[in-house]
Amino acid sequence: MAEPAKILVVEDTAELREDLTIVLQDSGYRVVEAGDGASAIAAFGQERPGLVICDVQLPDMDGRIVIEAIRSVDAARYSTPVIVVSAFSDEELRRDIEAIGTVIFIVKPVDYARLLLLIAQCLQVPGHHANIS
Amino acid sequence: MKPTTSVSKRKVTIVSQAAPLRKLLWRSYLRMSLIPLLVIELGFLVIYWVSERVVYHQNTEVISKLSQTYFLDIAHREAATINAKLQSIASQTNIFALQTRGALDGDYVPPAAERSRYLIRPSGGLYTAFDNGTTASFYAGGKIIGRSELEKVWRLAALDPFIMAVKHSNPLISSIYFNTYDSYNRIYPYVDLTEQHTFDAIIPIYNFYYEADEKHNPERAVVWTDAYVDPAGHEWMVSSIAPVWRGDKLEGVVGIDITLKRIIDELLDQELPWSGYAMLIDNNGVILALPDAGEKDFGLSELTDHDYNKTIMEDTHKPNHFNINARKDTRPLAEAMQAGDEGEVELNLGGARLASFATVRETGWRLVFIAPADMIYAESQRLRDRLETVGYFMLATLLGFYLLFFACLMWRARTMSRLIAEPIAEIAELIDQIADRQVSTPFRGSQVQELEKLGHHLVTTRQMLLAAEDEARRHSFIANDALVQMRAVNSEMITFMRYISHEIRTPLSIIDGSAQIIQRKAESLRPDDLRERAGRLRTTVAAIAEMLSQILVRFDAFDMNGTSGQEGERLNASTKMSALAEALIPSDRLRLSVPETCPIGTVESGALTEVLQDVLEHVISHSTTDSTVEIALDCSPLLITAIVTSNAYEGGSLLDRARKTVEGAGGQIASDSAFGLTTIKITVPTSCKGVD
Repeated sequence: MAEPAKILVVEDTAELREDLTIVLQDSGYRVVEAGDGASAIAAFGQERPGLVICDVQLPDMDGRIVIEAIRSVDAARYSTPVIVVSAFSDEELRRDIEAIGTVIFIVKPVDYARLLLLIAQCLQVPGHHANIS
Repeated sequence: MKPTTSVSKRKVTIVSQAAPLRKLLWRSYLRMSLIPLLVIELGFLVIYWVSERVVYHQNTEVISKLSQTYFLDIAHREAATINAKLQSIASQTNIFALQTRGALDGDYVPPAAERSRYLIRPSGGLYTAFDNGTTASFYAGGKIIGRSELEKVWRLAALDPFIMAVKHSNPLISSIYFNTYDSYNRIYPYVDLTEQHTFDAIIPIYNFYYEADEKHNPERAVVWTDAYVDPAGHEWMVSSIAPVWRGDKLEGVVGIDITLKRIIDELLDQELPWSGYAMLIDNNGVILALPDAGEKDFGLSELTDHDYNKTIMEDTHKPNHFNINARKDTRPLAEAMQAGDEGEVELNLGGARLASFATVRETGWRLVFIAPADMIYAESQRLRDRLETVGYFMLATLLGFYLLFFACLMWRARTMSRLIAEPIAEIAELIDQIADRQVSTPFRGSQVQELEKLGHHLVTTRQMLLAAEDEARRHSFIANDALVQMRAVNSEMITFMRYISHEIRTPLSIIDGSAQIIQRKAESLRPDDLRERAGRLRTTVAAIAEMLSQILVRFDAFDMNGTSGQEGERLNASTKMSALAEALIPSDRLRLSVPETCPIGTVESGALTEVLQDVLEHVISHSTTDSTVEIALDCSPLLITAIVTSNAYEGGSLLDRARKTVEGAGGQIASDSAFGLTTIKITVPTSCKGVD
């Protein structure tokens, strides 16, 4: 039996990070948590998660900087899916983030059922990503 | 003429062959006034000259008639005078003849003293030996003096008192005598006949004898001889002679001689006008008497130096060129004399002469008065000359006047063209300036009321257009500024809404997340977990409520200040001030000195914009059009200072309004004038309470 996928959750709001971790773990995923950008980049390098869920507004840096850092580390595969979860819903931000590539943009609050479905699809078909608004 | 038009970007240049205004005015003057005036003046001058000619000819005619009439009157009068004198002499001749006949019929014997004067020549003839104050006598021709001859001499001696009385009674008489058929001569005044070669003379062959004989004078009347040279007196003479008949025998002829010179001298004693002179012509056309002036005209000289020694033996008459009938130049006079007893005629005697003549009836002579025509017409000619001089003077005056008049008209045409053309050119320049939106220059004015109005209306129109353009630019700037502000507000609103969305979605996510956890794990959650989650929900809701309260507060602040006043957000005052200055001040007058950036809050920016706009409008309205406007902006952390320097005066409603505005924004405005320049200093604080 294959080892469950590891997901890096980058969220500065502790309540949300905790709920997301519960939902993911209940669904059988291993979760690595990060409360700011710097720890997220470090965790990605150490843990090499199969998927990253990342907030945009982090206390130390913009979530896009975290994604770009992940992409630089993940340069070989360049296929680690990233799901950006943001309270900002403007189209400009969406376009900026999607321009990074292999990124799915989700606006808070998040429907966990749909998030799990999306995660499953991303992990089942590497490189696949879908827009869930 | 069809003008051609070329259109440049803004200017319209018309190229035509139209004449300049000065030339048009000059032509107009010539056509409308000058030429008619000149024609009229020249017409008057021609009329004057024609009149002068007519007057001259009429004067000449009148003078000619007057002179002819005058001369004819004189000729009549003088001819009558001469006639009377000759009649008197003829009458005396007749009496003398009767007296002579009476003496011949008598038996008078003179006294011995008288008889002793007579000497008989041995060879024949008799003569008086000396003058005793009475007559002289001689018998010529070698006449043998017998008793009968002596008795005739003694009888005729009785005539001496009569003869002397007649002679002295009339000064015209030069001598009085009696000649007999046998060549006896008794004459008074006394003549020394021994000095002459008279003794061989045969008296009847002389005209003063034979012209009275039976053959020549059958009527036996008193007759006048032709002019002849007196053998005794060496003068041209005529004689009044009469026969003395005793029955059918002609005893002799009495005669009274008169010298023509005396008659003429008497005529010349009266002063004739126009240098005229009188001459006497006998009935054969021979000039009997001619004064010096006449000798010159006729080219004659009186024959007073005749050789009498040679001619004494016969009649001596004037040569042919003394006869007017034989002369070519006197032919008109001769013809006129043949045609009538009196008349007037024009002669050419080395110059025009007017001649008037009348007849002396006693002798048939013609008395002629002659005067040079130019002397007669001299007064008329002088009058004509004076009139001509006046005419030339008038012509010269007219020419001078018209030269002056031409010069004046040309000067007036130039002046008038300047009066009209220059304002028109200036108006055209104004129109070009309006088209080019150039800086306003004043209209220098015109003396033509319509052009004056037009020029000033154009200036006013241009000023209104520029003002309207400035106003439009200002409104555009304001609108643009408002648009910028609106965009800034909109941007702030978007930012704000984005912020609100983010801030609300986060707690909503907490709520939603908790709700989903409860839904998913309701059976497995413990009461403490539920309480903890319920507390989390309430905390989150409270946070949302607090956030909404803050939002309301911020909206209130936004509403009060017209902007969100978000702390940390700044406009660039340099950009705004530069744009405003460039919008209001012409670029050639603007000197702008601003830092590259000058952060300012929107509130301060609005206040500074309003104040600076009022100040610049004041400056542009009250400064000279060619003056410079300097604007300097200084930024400090707490204050923004704008300094405007121009030659506009300090004061006025715009500056008052600016002062109120800036003071309302917590700033101040100060002004100072020196050396014709006014400096207005605007100070605005960079932060306002409303923003915080």
